[in-house]
Amino acid sequence: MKTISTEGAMLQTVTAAIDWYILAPVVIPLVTAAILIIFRRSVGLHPYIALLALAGNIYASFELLMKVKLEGPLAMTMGNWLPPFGITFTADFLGAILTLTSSLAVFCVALYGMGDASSRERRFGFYPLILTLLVGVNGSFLTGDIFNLYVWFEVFVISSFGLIVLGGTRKQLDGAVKYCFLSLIATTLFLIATGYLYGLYGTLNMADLSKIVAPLKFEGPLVVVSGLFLLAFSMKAAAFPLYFWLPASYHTPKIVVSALFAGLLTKVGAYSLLRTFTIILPVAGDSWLMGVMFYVGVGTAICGALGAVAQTDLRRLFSFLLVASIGFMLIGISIGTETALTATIFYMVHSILIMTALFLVAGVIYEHRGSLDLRSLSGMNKDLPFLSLLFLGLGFVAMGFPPFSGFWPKFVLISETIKQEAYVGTFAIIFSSFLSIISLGRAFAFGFWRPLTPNAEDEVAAQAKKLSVYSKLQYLPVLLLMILVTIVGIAPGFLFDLSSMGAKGLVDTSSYIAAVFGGAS
Amino acid sequence: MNTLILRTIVPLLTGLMVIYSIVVLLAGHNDPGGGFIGGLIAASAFALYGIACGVAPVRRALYFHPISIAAFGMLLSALSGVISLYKGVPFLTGLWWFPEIAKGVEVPLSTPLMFDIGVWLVVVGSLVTIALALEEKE
Amino acid sequence: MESYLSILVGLYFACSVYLLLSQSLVRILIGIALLGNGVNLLIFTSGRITRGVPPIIEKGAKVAEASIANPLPQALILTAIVISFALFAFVLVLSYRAYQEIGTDDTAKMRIAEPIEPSHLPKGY
Repeated sequence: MKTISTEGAMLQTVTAAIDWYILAPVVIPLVTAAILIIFRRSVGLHPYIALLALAGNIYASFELLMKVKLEGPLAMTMGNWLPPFGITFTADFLGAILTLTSSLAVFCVALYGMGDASSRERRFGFYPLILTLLVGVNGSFLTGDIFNLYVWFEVFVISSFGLIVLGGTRKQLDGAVKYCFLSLIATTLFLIATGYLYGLYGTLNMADLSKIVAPLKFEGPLVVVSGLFLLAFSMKAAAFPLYFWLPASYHTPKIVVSALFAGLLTKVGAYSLLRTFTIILPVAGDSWLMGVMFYVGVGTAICGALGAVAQTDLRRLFSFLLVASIGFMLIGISIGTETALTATIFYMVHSILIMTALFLVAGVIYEHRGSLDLRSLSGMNKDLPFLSLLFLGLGFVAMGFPPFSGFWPKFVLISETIKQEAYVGTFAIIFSSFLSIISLGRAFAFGFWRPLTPNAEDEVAAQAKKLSVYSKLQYLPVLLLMILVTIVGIAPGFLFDLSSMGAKGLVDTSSYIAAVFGGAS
Repeated sequence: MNTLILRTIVPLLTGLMVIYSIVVLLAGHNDPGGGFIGGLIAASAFALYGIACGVAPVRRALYFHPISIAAFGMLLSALSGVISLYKGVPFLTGLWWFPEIAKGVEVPLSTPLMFDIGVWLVVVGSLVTIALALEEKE
Repeated sequence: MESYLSILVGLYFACSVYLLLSQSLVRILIGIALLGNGVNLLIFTSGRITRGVPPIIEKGAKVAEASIANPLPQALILTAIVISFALFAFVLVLSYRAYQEIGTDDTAKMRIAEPIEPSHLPKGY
């Protein structure tokens, strides 16, 4: 057998085992999902295996973050090809932080699912699907190749399709139709933009593109490509005016599923915008297109909060708050200074944790009351004091009261908009936060403070009998998330350092490019 | 489709198609072929068997649930990349072994082959699931 | 050749946008399928068209002697086809199930998740 020498195209140095941490957040859940599907009959074991794997995943993501903190961005190219030929996985601060956060969120969701997903739903693949969703999301955060990003998008999109119809009620099917069609169109638009990008520059590696695009002028086809990316990712992130699919669908699936979606999916869209307009197309990040994105963000923040005020269903209310939070991120990305990006990354982490927690707390309320309609919910502070305290706390976090985690990024973002004289943004953030205080305050006043309505007493008693053995356990994930956001709020320094390092890596792309091409140049 | 001709010929044809799909699978990498196309051939063999003899015999013949087969393929493919870890090379790097089973007869084994077998199983498993679900409806 | 294909891609996109704007789920589905095919053709075109030179390297050589067709778009398209096929199959079944359950394929009439009747909180308690 003759061997062909391939020194020209392949890496010759040894890859240390520690470098494999970059793949662990993708490989661990993938392998676990496969194992769970193979043993699809032993559904009793599913939660334990999944939780074990997710705990391992959190550990691996944490190690990855520490490693990135010590040594700067990491890269690994699949199949030993030198970049830009092979598909690159690149972990910079942004990717590593978000990977850790999403692993934490999915862990909490899986814990909640122990009591919420019936054995029929588990056999249908609840745990494998949330694991493959995590595979897709983590893959998106870590990949360094834009076509590969499309593939990871599709991985989590198809898992989310499976999850959204789990249960199959009429309402769910209606919501699923809107969600699935819009997702499909958004990802196809993303693919169109990727096709043009390949046609223009002949490469799909993010670092390679960054090098090629940086010296160019923002004109001609580049404008079209950037515009298409903005359109596709805004659709996925649920930005104004393309957010209507989100409040139309996120309140229909199982509550644990909507918590997962709210925590992760829109954030991947926001992450992709952040990545595209800093690293991949740095020229577009300094152009008039950011002005467009700024007003899109302003519209999203205001429309989302206005929608939240009008809702009576708790989950739809939270969905609109989620839309509003995307607006803040877009404002941060469009301003694009290092401080603004720091606040955006911090806010993303906060938003992943708090949105998951809000939807999970809605699940706990549903467990006790059998309804999420604020017109019929009442008197929960009497019989469920701990739950009302938890809801109040999470409400404060979501509104952005100090000393919780929502306060710091909003504070930084507001002061940065003032410094950059983007006063419309300042107004949008303050006005939107103000409206979210009204909507959450009303939810608390009606659901918790209002004395129990007379005809609701029987229903409450009937619902209390139906409580599952897991109903106490369901507080645990919410409490876990609450503790996390409180710690981040009281001691924001650690996350701020990480976020600012992430922002630094986005503003100055040289360390990212060096990580990918390190072996070559 | 319950004709005598089909019912007589299909068991034979299914066997032939599965053997051919394995030939295509093993031919892959350096020659035209591979896991995806081989899997398609095998899946169509099982679908044909389902059309001629009904869905239950196919499920019995496969023994494992098709979805489990697909998941096993996914596992195999993922692990084929992880093997590279022990050699200190990046994920999915192709590794080759040439064990000599008899004098002068080398069998080239490799992680790409393992990956391809995984793909073959994924394609067979998922397509057979879809095909059987469609055939069951009628 | 590229310019003709570009016009064809444009036609595909125009037709699919027209269909996507329709109210009927079936038309939207066809629109999505057309959009997917248009994208595949777009990637194919953007990889530059060459005739009669398959991307095969001679045995023993490390690089191709003459210029060959670009193999990357084919890999990209194959991936995109498989993915869009799977997703399309899913939404097809989903639309069918939704039609069975809701009884209409008119998106304007699918209001189960978002009922039309006004809902507002009481003024006080």
